[in-house]
Amino acid sequence: MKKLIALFLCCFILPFEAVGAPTTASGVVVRKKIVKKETKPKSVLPPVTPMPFHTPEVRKVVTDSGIEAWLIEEKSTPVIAVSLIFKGGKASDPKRLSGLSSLAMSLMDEGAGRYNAEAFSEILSEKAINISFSAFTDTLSANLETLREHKEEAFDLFRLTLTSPRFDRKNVQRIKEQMYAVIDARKGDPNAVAFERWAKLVYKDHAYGRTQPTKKSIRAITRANLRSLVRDRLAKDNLIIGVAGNISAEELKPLLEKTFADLPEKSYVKQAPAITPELSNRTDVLSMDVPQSAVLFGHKGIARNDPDFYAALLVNYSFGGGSFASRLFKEVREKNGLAYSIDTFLNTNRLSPMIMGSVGSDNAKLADAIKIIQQQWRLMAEEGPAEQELNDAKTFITGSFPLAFSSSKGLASFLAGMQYYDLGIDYLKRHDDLINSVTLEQAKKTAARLLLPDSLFFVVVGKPANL
Amino acid sequence: MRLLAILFVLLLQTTTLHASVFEAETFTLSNGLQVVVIENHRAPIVTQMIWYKVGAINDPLGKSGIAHVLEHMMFKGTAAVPNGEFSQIIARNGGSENAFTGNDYTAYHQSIARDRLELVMFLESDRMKNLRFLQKDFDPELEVVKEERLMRIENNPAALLNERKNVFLWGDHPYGRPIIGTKKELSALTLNDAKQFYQTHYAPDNAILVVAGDITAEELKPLAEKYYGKIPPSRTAAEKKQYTLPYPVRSRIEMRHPQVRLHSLQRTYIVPSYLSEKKEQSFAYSVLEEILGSYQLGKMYKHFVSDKKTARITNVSYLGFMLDRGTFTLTLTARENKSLSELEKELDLFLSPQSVTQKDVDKAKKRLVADLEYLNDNPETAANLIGRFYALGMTIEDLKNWPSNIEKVSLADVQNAYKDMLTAPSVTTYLMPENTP
Repeated sequence: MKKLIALFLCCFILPFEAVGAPTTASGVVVRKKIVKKETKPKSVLPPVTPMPFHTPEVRKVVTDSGIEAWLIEEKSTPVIAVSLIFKGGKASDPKRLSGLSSLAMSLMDEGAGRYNAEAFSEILSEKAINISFSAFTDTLSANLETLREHKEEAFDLFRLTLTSPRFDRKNVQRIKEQMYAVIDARKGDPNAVAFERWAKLVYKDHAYGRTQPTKKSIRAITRANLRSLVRDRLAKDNLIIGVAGNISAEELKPLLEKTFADLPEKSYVKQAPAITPELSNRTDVLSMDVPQSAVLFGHKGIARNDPDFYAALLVNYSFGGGSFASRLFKEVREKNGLAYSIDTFLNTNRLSPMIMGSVGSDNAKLADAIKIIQQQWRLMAEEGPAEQELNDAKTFITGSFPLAFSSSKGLASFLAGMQYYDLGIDYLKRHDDLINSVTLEQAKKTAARLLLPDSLFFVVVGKPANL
Repeated sequence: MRLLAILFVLLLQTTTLHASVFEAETFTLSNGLQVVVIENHRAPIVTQMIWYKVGAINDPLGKSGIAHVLEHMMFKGTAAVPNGEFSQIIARNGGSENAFTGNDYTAYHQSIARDRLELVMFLESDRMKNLRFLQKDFDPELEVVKEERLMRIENNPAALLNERKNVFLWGDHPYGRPIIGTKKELSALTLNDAKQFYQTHYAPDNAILVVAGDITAEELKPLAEKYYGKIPPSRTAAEKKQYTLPYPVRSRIEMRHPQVRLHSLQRTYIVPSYLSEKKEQSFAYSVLEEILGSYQLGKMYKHFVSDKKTARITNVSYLGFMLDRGTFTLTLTARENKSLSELEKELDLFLSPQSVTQKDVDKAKKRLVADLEYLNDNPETAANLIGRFYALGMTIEDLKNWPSNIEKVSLADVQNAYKDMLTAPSVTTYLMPENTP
């Protein structure tokens, strides 16, 4: 999606957002005095007559050879999107080869089968077929987007990337050079430095502590390493497929077979052991000469498959995830003007779920911001959300659920995520009940479990005063 | 009238299944508010965007940043919806929202379930007219914007250099000022500045309402009347000014900065935009952007990254959707051991209108129009694009005709645009690590 659309959406670098990008699962908080305001009759607001939302039907499509995909068919769009997840991401890279996953994924669409990098790029862009690969901590992902009219060719090109990426020597070198540039540039970016500092201090020698490449580790990667990563991880027993858009189950089945039948049957993925970092209430400061400090904070969290996960989602939403309406946003930004960007999020990494947050604050003001975050952390842990806050979080999370269905690409990746987290094929139908059934008591208990003020660890990169 | 209305409804029903953004409906309320409806019925959701034809270009002298500060103040409440409640109500109803300020426009948007559309129309129309300006809301919010400036500009050497570049490039043209405001002027902005800016520019006859998603024009029209129709026009919305450019210069700025690790070179030319004088050239500049800048296939990438291996990353960007002139920017991140002055010499040799071939033009045109159809997938994307067209004074016809206008671009058009660019005013920046000699 370069071209005209991108021209507008990406190249218009000038607009300044009023808040950070809204997250998919964030929350709402009402301070006590606002609760009072809310109880007065709101006659000015137009009444809402809720219309039932019928979640789209998810179909399981299984080919004769056993390749399975979850599909949402949507005839009103010209687009078909496919989203793949393979288990085993950056944390599965060999110890001295940090960056292997990232390098491999950057090269997957740089030529495949009989097409060299340039020819491949040419054929994709002439037909507006988008193929992309990414490496995450625990997974690798691949995405295909095509117009319906080019679907046969698009799936075939996707197959080529998965089964015969070329890794031509000169391309490997070219992409390595780009990675060196990124590695260098990150050293001057306080946010990137904070992330690396966090990983190093929290995870030490664990695989999660070395997911960021170094120039040395990139230099050490050979084409044989890249080829074995593809063979070891991009296999059928390791593959999750989500499909959405203008394609029927009958049309999809033969395409699935053609596209994925040639993948190896069995994967070989090295999994690191789970780790629960024991952190203490302290602040690490790494000096960097920038006017605004970049800060990460957090501690161990709650896993995606934990029975309290939905309660944690709601609590986090009220606490720091819900941008405009979260407690931290109000206290740190709105009331005191101590930051532009402040949020918390639940990190659902498999081996080490965390609750984390980030803030950027003028060096002179950061100490105040941290104090407020610490106080709020304790307050929420001790008292939990108020009933109104919990209700607001519920109505946001359930009410915004349909927004996930606004693009084929978004839907396809949602379907893949549902499988990755074992949420069940009926998850869309159960979602609202899972959220609404969280009681105030459970939310309060979960708040105490989720927020641990004595473990709240801060990493600061900047020149903060009074810290 | 009645017959027409019925025909209208029938037409809408028949196009429901494959509604195309190119068939977006438009109408204008009696107070001057332009309305655009983009149908997309894939999910029971809608996106409302309101675009004001006002941006940083309208900041009064000495008050840079005020358009953007006002954007922040727009979340601070009215008599009916006091501070804190606007976003609270939207969130509680499952909506997501935001806003942004550009040089030429300011936009506010919400995406929400279809059954809550009236709610966000009420909220958005309310703050078009009834915004409350309280000192106690303004003071901390100005601090927030100062933090935003620290985050986006002061903490980022490339952004700092970009500010300096714009001063050299544009002189006292308003595009020479940062949208977020200069540090000094931003700090001195007052509540009254924001209020005056609001009263001057925020009115239905200076705005465009775009609603995209599970809605038809027939359904929207009475709602638009109900919520926006009674807001009086200002009729004072500032006339579009003609800005003059300073006497052209070509200059070079060097910045050495301790946060910088890579050597990068950037050159920006002032060229015609889709709306400025010589706008007929804009299509050729879009084609040229694709010819030079496409990843992997573009001439810049092939020359500097794949063949000569003197750069690691290249980027080409034509900002053509601007009210006044646009810019064409070439960026190169050097390989180690390659000085920027050497790289600039190489760039000057590389830039050659004669090197563009008919084949380059044909291929680039094909690639450019291939993915427009994706606009029909996502209502938010469509609203964002079409809203921008209208905010700049273009229409759905311009979008509809864009592919054929690109198709008409000839080799000579591209070469002429390219040639003109090379003699246009330009600024070249060198961004280097601190101890670079």
